[in-house]
Amino acid sequence: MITRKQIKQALDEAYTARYGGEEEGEALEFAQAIDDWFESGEYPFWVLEPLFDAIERLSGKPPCALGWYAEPVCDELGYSGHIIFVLVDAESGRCLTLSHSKSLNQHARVSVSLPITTEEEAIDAVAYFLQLLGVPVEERVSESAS
Amino acid sequence: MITREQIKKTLDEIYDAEYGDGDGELTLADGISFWLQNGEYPFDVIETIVEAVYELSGKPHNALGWYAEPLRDEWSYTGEIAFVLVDAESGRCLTMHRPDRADAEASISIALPVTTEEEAIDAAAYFLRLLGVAVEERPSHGGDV
Repeated sequence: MITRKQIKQALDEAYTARYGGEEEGEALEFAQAIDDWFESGEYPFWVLEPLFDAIERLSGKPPCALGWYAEPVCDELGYSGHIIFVLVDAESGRCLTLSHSKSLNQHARVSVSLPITTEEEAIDAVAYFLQLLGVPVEERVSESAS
Repeated sequence: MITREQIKKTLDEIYDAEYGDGDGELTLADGISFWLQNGEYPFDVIETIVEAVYELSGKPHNALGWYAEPLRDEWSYTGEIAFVLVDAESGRCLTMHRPDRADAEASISIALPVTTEEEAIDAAAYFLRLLGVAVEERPSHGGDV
C-alpha cells in the first residue's frame, strides 16, 4: 500500500527533478509550486507536470501509458483552485474518469474536478488517481478529534 | 449518408430552437459571430454541435461523454475548441491519438476550429465519423486555373 508520506515525497522529488534549483542536491517542496500558482495567476504547468510524474511513478506505469487532459477552472476573479481532469489508459483507450448516467437525457461525465489549493489536496488528488489505476493507497487521516 | 446540408439544417434548427424564437431566423452562424465578437464562453455553440451529433447519430445522451474547452491565448478565445469524446458504453476515448513514437504522450483531445458555420459542420462531421456514421466530404475549394 502506498502511504500519503510516499506520495508527498514523490511530489517533492518530481517537482525538484523538473524545476530543481541551480545548486546540486537542492530539494524543492511541491507545496511551494501551489503557492507560486496562486501568487502568479499563470497557467500552472509546474503544478500539473510533477503531479502526473508522481502518479506515473507510484503506479508503476511506463512513461506515456496514460493520456491526460487537465484544465484549471477560472472564475471571474481568476483561478478557483479546482482543476478539471480527464484520465485515459492509453493502452486500452479506456477513460478512467468516466461516470455513467442512468438517464437517457443526460450526458455521461468524462471529467472530475478536484481542488488543489494545498499540498494535502494535491496528495488527495494523486491518491484518487492511483486508486483509479488499481493501486491501494492509505486513507487520509480524519482531522476531527474528540 | 448524411449530407453537409443536413448537418447545417440540424445545427441551425437546434440553435434557433434553444437560443432563438424557433422561427428559423437565428442560425448557428449568428451564434459563432456573437461568440467571436463578445468574447464570452461559447456554451451555446458547443451545446449546439454536441446536440446535432446526438440527433444525427441517433445516440441517446447517456451513450456519449463529452468534455469541451474553448482555447484561449493571452488576449481572448482563439476560435479553436478542444473536445474529448468518450463512448460511454465501452468507456473508450474516441478522440485519443497515440503517436508513433513510444516515448511521446498520447493525446486524448482534438482541437477543432469553429470560427465559421462551415467549420462547425466540419466538426460535427468529424464526430459523426468517429461514431461510424457516413458523412459527405466537404467539397474542395480548389479548381483549375
